[in-house]
Amino acid sequence: MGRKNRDVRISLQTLRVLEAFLDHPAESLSGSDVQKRSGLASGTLYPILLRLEEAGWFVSRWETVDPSEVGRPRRRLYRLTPGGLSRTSEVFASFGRGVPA
Amino acid sequence: MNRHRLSTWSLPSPTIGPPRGYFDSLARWLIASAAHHAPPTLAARLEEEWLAVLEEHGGTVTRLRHALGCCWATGVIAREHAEAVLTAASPEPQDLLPPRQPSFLLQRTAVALLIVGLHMLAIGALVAGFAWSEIPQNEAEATVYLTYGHSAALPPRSAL
Repeated sequence: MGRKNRDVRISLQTLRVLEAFLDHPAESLSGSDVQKRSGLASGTLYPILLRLEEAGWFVSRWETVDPSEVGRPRRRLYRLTPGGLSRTSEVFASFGRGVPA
Repeated sequence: MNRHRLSTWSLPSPTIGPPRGYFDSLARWLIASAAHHAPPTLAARLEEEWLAVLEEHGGTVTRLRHALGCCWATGVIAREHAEAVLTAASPEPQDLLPPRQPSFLLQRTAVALLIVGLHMLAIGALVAGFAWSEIPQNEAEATVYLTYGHSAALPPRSAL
Protein backbone atom coordinates (compact mmCIF):
# COMPACT_ATOMS: atom_id res chain seq x y z
CA MET A 1 0.00 0.00 0.00
CA GLY A 2 2.06 2.91 -1.21
CA ARG A 3 5.70 3.65 -0.49
CA LYS A 4 7.47 1.55 2.10
CA ASN A 5 9.79 2.50 4.90
CA ARG A 6 9.55 6.18 4.25
CA ASP A 7 9.63 8.94 6.79
CA VAL A 8 6.53 9.93 8.65
CA ARG A 9 5.71 13.00 10.62
CA ILE A 10 6.63 12.20 14.23
CA SER A 11 4.27 13.91 16.61
CA LEU A 12 3.89 13.31 20.32
CA GLN A 13 0.87 11.13 19.61
CA THR A 14 2.86 9.09 17.09
CA LEU A 15 5.52 8.53 19.72
CA ARG A 16 2.89 7.25 22.13
CA VAL A 17 1.63 4.79 19.53
CA LEU A 18 5.15 3.57 18.83
CA GLU A 19 5.84 3.33 22.53
CA ALA A 20 2.83 1.05 22.96
CA PHE A 21 4.60 -1.53 20.79
CA LEU A 22 8.01 -1.27 22.37
CA ASP A 23 7.57 -3.56 25.35
CA HIS A 24 6.99 -6.53 23.06
CA PRO A 25 7.96 -5.46 19.55
CA ALA A 26 7.05 -8.81 18.00
CA GLU A 27 3.57 -8.78 19.49
CA SER A 28 0.51 -8.01 17.39
CA LEU A 29 -1.86 -5.50 18.95
CA SER A 30 -5.40 -4.58 18.05
CA GLY A 31 -6.51 -1.00 17.78
CA SER A 32 -8.21 -1.15 21.17
CA ASP A 33 -5.04 -2.60 22.74
CA VAL A 34 -3.02 0.30 21.36
CA GLN A 35 -5.72 2.66 22.52
CA LYS A 36 -5.52 1.33 26.07
CA ARG A 37 -1.72 1.50 26.15
CA SER A 38 -1.36 4.88 24.52
CA GLY A 39 -4.44 6.56 25.93
CA LEU A 40 -5.24 8.12 22.58
CA ALA A 41 -8.76 8.62 21.29
CA SER A 42 -9.97 6.82 18.18
CA GLY A 43 -9.94 9.96 16.11
CA THR A 44 -6.23 10.40 16.75
CA LEU A 45 -5.15 6.78 16.84
CA TYR A 46 -6.43 5.38 13.56
CA PRO A 47 -4.99 8.02 11.22
CA ILE A 48 -1.62 7.41 12.90
CA LEU A 49 -1.90 3.64 12.55
CA LEU A 50 -2.81 3.92 8.88
CA ARG A 51 -0.05 6.48 8.28
CA LEU A 52 2.55 4.22 9.85
CA GLU A 53 1.21 1.21 7.97
CA GLU A 54 1.36 3.03 4.67
CA ALA A 55 4.90 4.11 5.45
CA GLY A 56 5.87 0.49 6.07
CA TRP A 57 6.49 0.76 9.78
CA PHE A 58 3.53 -1.50 10.60
CA VAL A 59 1.80 -4.40 8.94
CA SER A 60 -1.75 -5.36 9.76
CA ARG A 61 -3.83 -8.49 9.33
CA TRP A 62 -7.15 -9.85 10.45
CA GLU A 63 -7.25 -11.98 13.53
CA THR A 64 -7.56 -15.67 12.65
CA VAL A 65 -10.49 -16.59 14.84
CA ASP A 66 -13.99 -17.75 14.14
CA PRO A 67 -16.31 -14.99 15.38
CA SER A 68 -19.07 -17.47 16.14
CA GLU A 69 -16.74 -19.46 18.38
CA VAL A 70 -15.22 -16.58 20.29
CA GLY A 71 -18.46 -14.63 20.42
CA ARG A 72 -17.06 -11.38 19.09
CA PRO A 73 -16.04 -9.94 15.75
CA ARG A 74 -12.51 -10.51 14.52
CA ARG A 75 -10.05 -7.74 15.23
CA ARG A 76 -7.46 -6.07 13.06
CA LEU A 77 -3.98 -6.68 14.44
CA TYR A 78 -0.98 -4.41 13.95
CA ARG A 79 2.66 -5.38 14.29
CA LEU A 80 5.92 -3.50 13.90
CA THR A 81 7.95 -4.53 10.87
CA PRO A 82 11.72 -5.01 11.25
CA GLY A 83 12.21 -1.80 9.31
CA GLY A 84 9.65 -0.06 11.47
CA LEU A 85 11.36 -1.29 14.61
CA SER A 86 14.68 0.04 13.44
CA ARG A 87 13.11 3.39 12.52
CA THR A 88 11.35 3.49 15.87
CA SER A 89 14.67 2.75 17.54
CA GLU A 90 16.25 5.64 15.67
CA VAL A 91 13.44 7.99 16.66
CA PHE A 92 13.61 7.13 20.33
CA ALA A 93 17.40 7.14 20.30
CA SER A 94 17.25 10.68 19.01
CA PHE A 95 15.21 11.49 22.10
CA GLY A 96 17.77 9.76 24.34
CA ARG A 97 15.84 6.59 24.97
CA GLY A 98 16.82 3.07 23.97
CA VAL A 99 14.62 0.37 22.48
CA PRO A 100 14.78 -3.27 23.52
CA ALA A 101 16.48 -5.32 20.84
CA MET B 1 -17.05 -7.90 4.03
CA ASN B 2 -20.19 -6.55 5.59
CA ARG B 3 -20.45 -4.08 2.75
CA HIS B 4 -24.24 -4.24 2.94
CA ARG B 5 -24.17 -2.20 6.14
CA LEU B 6 -23.06 0.83 4.18
CA SER B 7 -26.36 1.02 2.40
CA THR B 8 -28.38 1.71 5.55
CA TRP B 9 -28.66 5.44 5.52
CA SER B 10 -31.59 6.11 7.81
CA LEU B 11 -31.02 7.28 11.34
CA PRO B 12 -31.80 4.61 13.94
CA SER B 13 -35.31 4.83 15.25
CA PRO B 14 -35.56 5.86 18.89
CA THR B 15 -38.41 3.42 19.38
CA ILE B 16 -36.39 0.23 18.94
CA GLY B 17 -35.80 -0.27 22.61
CA PRO B 18 -34.31 1.21 25.73
CA PRO B 19 -31.96 4.22 25.47
CA ARG B 20 -28.92 1.94 25.55
CA GLY B 21 -30.12 0.20 22.40
CA TYR B 22 -30.77 3.48 20.70
CA PHE B 23 -27.30 4.80 21.45
CA ASP B 24 -25.76 1.52 20.32
CA SER B 25 -27.58 1.85 17.02
CA LEU B 26 -26.53 5.46 16.78
CA ALA B 27 -22.89 4.52 17.35
CA ARG B 28 -23.08 1.82 14.69
CA TRP B 29 -24.73 4.20 12.27
CA LEU B 30 -22.02 6.81 12.90
CA ILE B 31 -19.30 4.25 12.24
CA ALA B 32 -20.99 3.02 9.06
CA SER B 33 -21.39 6.61 7.85
CA ALA B 34 -17.78 7.40 8.71
CA ALA B 35 -16.51 4.33 6.88
CA HIS B 36 -18.64 5.23 3.88
CA HIS B 37 -16.74 8.52 3.59
CA ALA B 38 -13.34 6.86 3.86
CA PRO B 39 -11.32 6.10 0.72
CA PRO B 40 -13.00 3.20 -1.12
CA THR B 41 -10.04 0.88 -0.65
CA LEU B 42 -10.27 1.27 3.12
CA ALA B 43 -14.01 1.64 3.72
CA ALA B 44 -14.95 -1.98 4.34
CA ARG B 45 -11.86 -2.70 6.41
CA LEU B 46 -12.32 0.34 8.61
CA GLU B 47 -15.98 -0.37 9.19
CA GLU B 48 -15.33 -3.93 10.30
CA GLU B 49 -12.36 -2.91 12.41
CA TRP B 50 -14.15 -0.05 14.12
CA LEU B 51 -17.29 -2.10 14.77
CA ALA B 52 -15.13 -4.79 16.38
CA VAL B 53 -13.54 -2.17 18.62
CA LEU B 54 -17.01 -0.85 19.43
CA GLU B 55 -17.92 -4.27 20.81
CA GLU B 56 -15.00 -4.07 23.24
CA HIS B 57 -16.17 -0.80 24.76
CA GLY B 58 -18.57 -1.15 27.64
CA GLY B 59 -20.20 2.14 28.48
CA THR B 60 -22.60 4.06 26.31
CA VAL B 61 -20.55 7.23 26.52
CA THR B 62 -17.37 5.36 25.63
CA ARG B 63 -19.05 3.77 22.63
CA LEU B 64 -20.40 7.07 21.39
CA ARG B 65 -17.01 8.65 21.94
CA HIS B 66 -15.40 5.92 19.87
CA ALA B 67 -17.96 6.39 17.10
CA LEU B 68 -17.43 10.14 17.02
CA GLY B 69 -13.69 9.55 16.99
CA CYS B 70 -14.12 7.32 13.95
CA CYS B 71 -15.97 10.15 12.20
CA TRP B 72 -13.08 12.48 12.96
CA ALA B 73 -10.53 9.86 11.88
CA THR B 74 -12.30 9.41 8.56
CA GLY B 75 -11.90 13.08 7.76
CA VAL B 76 -8.19 12.96 8.50
CA ILE B 77 -7.67 9.71 6.59
CA ALA B 78 -9.62 10.94 3.57
CA ARG B 79 -7.68 14.21 3.47
CA GLU B 80 -4.31 12.48 3.74
CA HIS B 81 -5.33 9.97 1.10
CA ALA B 82 -6.35 12.74 -1.28
CA GLU B 83 -3.06 14.54 -0.68
CA ALA B 84 -1.13 11.34 -1.36
CA VAL B 85 -3.03 10.80 -4.61
CA LEU B 86 -2.39 14.39 -5.71
CA THR B 87 1.29 14.15 -4.84
CA ALA B 88 1.62 10.87 -6.71
CA ALA B 89 -0.12 12.29 -9.78
CA SER B 90 2.06 15.38 -9.90
CA PRO B 91 5.75 15.06 -10.83
CA GLU B 92 6.66 18.11 -8.76
CA PRO B 93 4.83 19.21 -5.62
CA GLN B 94 5.30 22.79 -6.70
CA ASP B 95 3.01 22.10 -9.64
CA LEU B 96 0.10 22.05 -7.22
CA LEU B 97 0.67 25.66 -6.22
CA PRO B 98 -0.76 28.45 -8.34
CA PRO B 99 1.83 30.42 -10.31
CA ARG B 100 3.06 33.40 -8.33
CA GLN B 101 2.41 36.68 -10.06
CA PRO B 102 5.07 39.41 -10.13
CA SER B 103 2.79 41.82 -8.27
CA PHE B 104 2.22 39.33 -5.46
CA LEU B 105 4.69 41.00 -3.10
CA LEU B 106 3.38 44.45 -3.99
CA GLN B 107 -0.13 43.38 -3.10
CA ARG B 108 1.03 42.04 0.24
CA THR B 109 2.91 45.25 0.96
CA ALA B 110 -0.12 47.34 0.06
CA VAL B 111 -2.36 45.28 2.33
CA ALA B 112 0.17 45.56 5.17
CA LEU B 113 0.37 49.32 4.74
CA LEU B 114 -3.41 49.54 4.66
CA ILE B 115 -3.64 47.63 7.94
CA VAL B 116 -1.00 49.80 9.56
CA GLY B 117 -2.79 52.93 8.32
CA LEU B 118 -6.12 51.78 9.71
CA HIS B 119 -4.50 51.08 13.07
CA MET B 120 -2.96 54.55 13.12
CA LEU B 121 -6.32 56.11 12.25
CA ALA B 122 -8.00 54.18 15.05
CA ILE B 123 -5.32 55.21 17.56
CA GLY B 124 -5.55 58.82 16.40
CA ALA B 125 -9.31 58.78 16.78
CA LEU B 126 -9.00 57.39 20.30
CA VAL B 127 -6.48 60.06 21.27
CA ALA B 128 -8.67 62.78 19.77
CA GLY B 129 -11.67 61.37 21.61
CA PHE B 130 -9.90 61.55 24.94
CA ALA B 131 -8.76 65.10 24.24
CA TRP B 132 -12.30 66.13 23.28
CA SER B 133 -13.73 64.74 26.51
CA GLU B 134 -11.31 66.81 28.63
CA ILE B 135 -13.14 70.12 28.29
CA PRO B 136 -12.29 72.60 31.03
CA GLN B 137 -15.08 73.49 33.41
CA ASN B 138 -15.18 77.12 32.22
CA GLU B 139 -15.68 76.12 28.60
CA ALA B 140 -18.54 73.84 29.54
CA GLU B 141 -20.31 76.63 31.32
CA ALA B 142 -19.70 78.94 28.36
CA THR B 143 -21.41 76.40 26.11
CA VAL B 144 -24.41 76.41 28.39
CA TYR B 145 -24.56 80.17 28.17
CA LEU B 146 -24.58 80.03 24.39
CA THR B 147 -27.36 77.46 24.36
CA TYR B 148 -29.56 79.44 26.66
CA GLY B 149 -28.37 82.83 25.50
CA HIS B 150 -31.82 84.33 24.80
CA SER B 151 -33.53 83.23 27.95
CA ALA B 152 -33.93 85.69 30.71
CA ALA B 153 -33.03 83.32 33.47
CA LEU B 154 -30.49 80.55 33.50
CA PRO B 155 -31.80 77.06 34.24
CA PRO B 156 -31.01 75.74 37.65
CA ARG B 157 -27.61 74.10 37.90
CA SER B 158 -29.17 70.75 38.85
CA ALA B 159 -30.95 70.64 35.45
CA LEU B 160 -27.62 70.70 33.64
